[in-house]
Amino acid sequence: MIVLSLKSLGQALSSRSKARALAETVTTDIEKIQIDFSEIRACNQSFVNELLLVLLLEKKIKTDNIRTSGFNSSNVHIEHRFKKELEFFQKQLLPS
Amino acid sequence: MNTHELVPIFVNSYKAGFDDAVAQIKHGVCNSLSIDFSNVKFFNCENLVRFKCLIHLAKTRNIPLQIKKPRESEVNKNAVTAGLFADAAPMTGQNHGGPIIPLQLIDSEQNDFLFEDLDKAFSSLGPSSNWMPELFEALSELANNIYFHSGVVENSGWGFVQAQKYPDKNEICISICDIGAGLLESYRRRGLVKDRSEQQLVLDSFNELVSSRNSPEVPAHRGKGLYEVLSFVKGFRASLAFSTGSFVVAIKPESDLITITPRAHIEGTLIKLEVPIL
Repeated sequence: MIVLSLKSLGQALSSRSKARALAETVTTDIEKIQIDFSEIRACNQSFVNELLLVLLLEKKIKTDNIRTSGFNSSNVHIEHRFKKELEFFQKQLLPS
Repeated sequence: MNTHELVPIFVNSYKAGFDDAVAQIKHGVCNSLSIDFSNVKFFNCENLVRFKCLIHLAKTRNIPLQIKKPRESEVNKNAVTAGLFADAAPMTGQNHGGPIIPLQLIDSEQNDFLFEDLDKAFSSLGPSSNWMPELFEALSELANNIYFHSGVVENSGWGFVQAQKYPDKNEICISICDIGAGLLESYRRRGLVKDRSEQQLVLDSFNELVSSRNSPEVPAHRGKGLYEVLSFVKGFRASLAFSTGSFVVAIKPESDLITITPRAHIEGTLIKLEVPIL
């Protein structure tokens, strides 16, 4: 298990290129990952989409092996977005 | 503001409407541009972003530009504070100390600075500022759309954003605008029109996963950006006016209905978001 800590100077992440750059730091031999959002207050759908796209489709990490941490009252809305996007990949793209 | 009456625009010494001027510059037939703001009594958010786009377009094409500034000093001061006449847009994370985000250039997908700007300008609003992260997320989707889709080719678009608190109306007004391809042309060149009318396309662009009619197998750019904006608008009782091509989409807080009405053709896309301060 590795921990991917999301960090941004302004506590916001919104670009696909940043998401890709972060996700590409994960090596293909990693099976389990924990994504930590504790330092992030805003994170748009495009960012979440690209992050999961790289982790699930390119790094081949299974959805069950992706955990999250760091959600609190100021960023709880991101948790909802993240779960929804993860479900999309699970249902539409990664049939069991 | 009626631009024909209050802000005369001259292209090659001939009077022109705003969108005519934009079109002539784009087509390379404009040799000089003059914009006369002298009779303007008030700049709203929409006018600021639209005129900033026109000025920026002329400057990037090296077109000789003459600007007559507002005669009334207070109006001129507000325009200067917003950055309308500045050579370059104020850079990352800066504001002028008041509840305003000056005109900011959007020309990449690196727009996280908008969150800092929103934080600096509006964090003093108390409980109302709870919407800030989600407002940023909606705004960043709109900014991404400008960069990805409004340019001559993909990933080359630009536009401007501006936000301001209006104490008398107890709301924040945010405008974001480009004078690029427009929604119809952007879909057309990607082969995504699929026999839809412009009206249907504009409506579809707000529907989750219907927008681009990508196949479910396509995991990215699947048309969720404007759906996210719609979710914000509904969640925070905001109102939205989204103009592109020959249509304007309106969403009002008192109704769940999305209305679409014809309007005079505009170049690019103009979005106005009004968020109540509770």
